[in-house]
Amino acid sequence: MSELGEAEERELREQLAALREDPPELGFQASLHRRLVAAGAPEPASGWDRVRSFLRRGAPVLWPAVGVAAGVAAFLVMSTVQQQPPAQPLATAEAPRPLTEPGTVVPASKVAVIKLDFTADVAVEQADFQVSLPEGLTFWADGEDLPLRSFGWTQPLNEGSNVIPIAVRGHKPGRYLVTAFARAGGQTIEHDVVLEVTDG
Amino acid sequence: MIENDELRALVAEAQDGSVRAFEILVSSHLAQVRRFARAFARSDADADDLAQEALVKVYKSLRSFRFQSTFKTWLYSVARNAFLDTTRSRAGRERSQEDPLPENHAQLPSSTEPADEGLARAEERQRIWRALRELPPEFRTAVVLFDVEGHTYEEVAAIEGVPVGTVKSRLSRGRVLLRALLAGERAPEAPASESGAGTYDTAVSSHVRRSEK
Repeated sequence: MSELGEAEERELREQLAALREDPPELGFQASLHRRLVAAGAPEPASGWDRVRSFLRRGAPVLWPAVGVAAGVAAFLVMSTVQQQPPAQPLATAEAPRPLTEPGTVVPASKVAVIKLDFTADVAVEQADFQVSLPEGLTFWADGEDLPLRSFGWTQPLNEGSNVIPIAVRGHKPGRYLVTAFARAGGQTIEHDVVLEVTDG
Repeated sequence: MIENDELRALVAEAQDGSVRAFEILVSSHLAQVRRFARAFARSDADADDLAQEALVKVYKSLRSFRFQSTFKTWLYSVARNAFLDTTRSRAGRERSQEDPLPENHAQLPSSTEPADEGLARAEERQRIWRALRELPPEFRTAVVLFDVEGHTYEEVAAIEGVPVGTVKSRLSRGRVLLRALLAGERAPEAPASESGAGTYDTAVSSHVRRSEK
């Protein structure tokens, strides 16, 4: 950069730094307070966010931008999840598939995104979830395998569809059973997904 | 400055819905967020509305903050995304209008300087803010955070979710554009990789850049 250019840049930066002045209050904080109160409490973080956060611990934030090389989806549908009354049976979802009928096939080099779609007829304030993986499958987040076999969390369910993506990876070919539990209103639903990992 | 333990306690309280705790948390950042908003508002009169909207989003998102970065970085990152969302959503309906000088928002001359000089300075600042608003959002963000607010390269990179080299490049190009604007020239179109629709999204834009190298 020429001397003239440097001088111009220096002058510009001084002008910009001079903008760093406190704006007049003009009732800003009072107005902000009203809007915060009207907005209600912070929204709950999603369950998978908690998994990622729990295990991130300094890992580079790469998930899912580069971590998900390929996504495949398996869907678990839970219907009629009701908070009250709890006596009604919860689930009418399909029966667990035998291991001979994989719901999803994914090469070992790819990451499978299992989308758990929990459909509720009414909003549920608090539902407990747990997903368990067999030996040979691992949770995947932030571009790396996570050292967990099972993870549980609690979150509310909205009325209608509640999709919770879970990224997993298989390390060697085979068929694996992924188990997901949901508990709400004193009832428990168990669902199984069979994931087939192939060579490649 | 809030100490770490106090910060954690305030975050926990605010996450449970304490507006008062949140207000304490952000109290030392209000002026900066308002200035930051000024660069993305249609006019100075809209800046405070935009800043408040962003702060409400910060509050509503607070449960996703888990100390994976400093609170300050996270706050600016959420605010920046809110500003970019607003910029993007209004882009389609933006009407061309001259930015009027709001009566009550211009800095009044201080009592220690002559009125003429104070007004001239206020007008000059308005001119620079208007020029800043003409910059592509990525350049604008970098210039405001670094040159106006005095953040470090690393802080700006963390807020924007891009490498430090990208921040330096955006700063350099942003200053060139800004000088041209202030000199009365029309800003040249920024390259598609920096200003096209969709590059507001951090993940997309940084990913594209990586693949180009």
